[in-house]
Amino acid sequence: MHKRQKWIADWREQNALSAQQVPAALRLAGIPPPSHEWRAWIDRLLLWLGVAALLSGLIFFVAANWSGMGRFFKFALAESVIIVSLAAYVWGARFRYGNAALLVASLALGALLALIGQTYQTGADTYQLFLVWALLILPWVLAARLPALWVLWLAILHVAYVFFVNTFEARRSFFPVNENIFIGAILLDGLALTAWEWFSTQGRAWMRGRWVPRLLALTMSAAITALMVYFILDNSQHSQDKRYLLYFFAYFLILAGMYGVYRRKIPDIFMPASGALSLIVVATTGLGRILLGGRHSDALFAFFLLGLFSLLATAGAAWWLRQIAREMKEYRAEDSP
Amino acid sequence: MKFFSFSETAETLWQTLSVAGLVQNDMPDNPTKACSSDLPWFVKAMVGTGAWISSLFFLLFVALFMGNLFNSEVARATFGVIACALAAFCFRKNIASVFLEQLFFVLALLGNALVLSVIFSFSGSDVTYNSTALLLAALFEALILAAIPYQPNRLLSALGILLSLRGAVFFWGVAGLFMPLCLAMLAIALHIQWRRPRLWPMVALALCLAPFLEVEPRRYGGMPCNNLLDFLREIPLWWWQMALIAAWLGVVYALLKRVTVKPLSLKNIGVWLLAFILAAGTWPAPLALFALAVLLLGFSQRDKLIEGIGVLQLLWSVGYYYYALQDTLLFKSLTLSALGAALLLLYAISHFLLPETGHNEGEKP
Repeated sequence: MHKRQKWIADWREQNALSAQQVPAALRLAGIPPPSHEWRAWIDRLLLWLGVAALLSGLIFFVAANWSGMGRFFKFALAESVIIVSLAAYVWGARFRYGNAALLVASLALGALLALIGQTYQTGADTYQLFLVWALLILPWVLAARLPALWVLWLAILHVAYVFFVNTFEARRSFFPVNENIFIGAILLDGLALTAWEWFSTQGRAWMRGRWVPRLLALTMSAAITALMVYFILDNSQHSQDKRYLLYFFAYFLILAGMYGVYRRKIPDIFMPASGALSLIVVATTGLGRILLGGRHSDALFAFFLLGLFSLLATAGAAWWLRQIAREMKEYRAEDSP
Repeated sequence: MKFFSFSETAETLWQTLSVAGLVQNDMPDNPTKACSSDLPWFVKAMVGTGAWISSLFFLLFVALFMGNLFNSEVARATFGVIACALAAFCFRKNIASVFLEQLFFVLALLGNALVLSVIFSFSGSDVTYNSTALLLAALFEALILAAIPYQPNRLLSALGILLSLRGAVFFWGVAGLFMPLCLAMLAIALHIQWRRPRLWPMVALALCLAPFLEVEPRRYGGMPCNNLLDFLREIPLWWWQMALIAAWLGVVYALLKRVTVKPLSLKNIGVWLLAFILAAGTWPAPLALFALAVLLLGFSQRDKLIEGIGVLQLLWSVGYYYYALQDTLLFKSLTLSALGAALLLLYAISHFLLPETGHNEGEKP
């Protein structure tokens, strides 16, 4: 519901408007839009629908004849998408949407590499495809200065890493395979987050939005939470190793580091919030393991206690975050002119 | 007068209405918001997640405590109704805390699940029982929709009603009726949503999602029921598609009537031509016509969410059409190309086809 309609509905509920007056009020609020706006909208609809229908027709045509096409024609098709996107970037570079063309070119390059791999059956491992893709698009990522493209690049690196870990045997590594995936994600996201925050403080306007560092912090928190939960619930021989000390130390070090940085240096309540949720999940899992893991455990009592613990922990976290939010607000008010 | 601007506030709109003589005195105060509303959305999400974790443990505790009692249908139905009633009572008291909100949401969902499990435990292979169970489920969800004034719960209840009705019409063999009815109800819900702003927008949102619940319309299930349904089952598919087109044209007519003085005047011939071309062009993929209607209705309400859903549904319908087996890929590509060419031609001559109006000329007073 549009906010204007919501306001009118609220005033109707408060009897500031009669039911008979509401249609007139809505018209004055531009709901539905006046005819000149409809005309402009229909024009845009005709253009975009027409182009989309033609493009879809073209894609369907290619799909219909795909099996009959030669390999070089297929390569030419995939490469032409990249060339057109790069041309659009060069032409539209001074416009905001010019960079989006590089995003299209980056995705199309991945499709081309997949096509090459499928056509020639090179025998390369899957992680090599993603690694080469990431390396090839790196110059475009640097040139575009587009946060979404950086996120795509990091996502490709993550996928390459997961396939790399799954390809090689666990015995060759210090850590078992499952933990390697989490540890790699933590290191990669942690490094990316640190680099992003450092470069954004160097005056780069395009890096000022908070959604990328928040996304990186979220994925890093999710990975480290998953690692801790996995370790707590793991019943194998590995759980008897001294590595648990290293994991716990690293976990609390990361939480403490995020708290220190995002409480004072770069005030952002999102980071303490994700850290608090991670702590609640890990602590609840640990308590659950203690209460339910023993031979004489009482499930009834355990579930009640776990429910109570998570309730109190969440309430405490919410109170703490409200205090932080209030402090940050005052801190920002003092700083502003 | 420029009606839409992100910089405009409630005070500006009140001023506009006051100048037009629709309101007097000062603008009323906003209803007091919950104390937790000063928190950012991600903190509320964190609190909500914690509430879900806590609720699930408490539910496990209750389930273990009750033991085998939940095997009885009577016990499940009783607990389900009590849970829903408790949730309805608490939500009507305007819960201030995000944590409690989520706790009672889980309780409402549990109540739903318990009652629905009882309803569907009586269904089987008989189509009468199945369709009766689905209708009962729809009725129950409608009660929950009215009783529990919590938006996410209302959305889920509305989706539950749609799913149940979709299943019921499928069993009766009149599945083609589903989309035209949903489109008509969507237009009505959006038109009257200001009357119950905490109910109808959620119903409209659920109706927007109807195409995602649609199965291949040619696959009619159902077994012989009675003479009326046998008659309905004999109706060819294209009649139901015509019903969808009629609903689409009805939406266009209703919108033209609200925007212009005479919807059937010659000035609007370009709009009608476009409406018919779109109806004809989407004949092989009826979901696309529904998506266009959603897009149209979203713009008429200035609702970006509904417009976005319309765009997503258009993409969905293209993908659906790609995998549909009734035509070859080549035929589909020609159809789409012809439609694209026709639309671009209309765009090129829109200056002549669409009515030239000033800001207020030709509009309803």
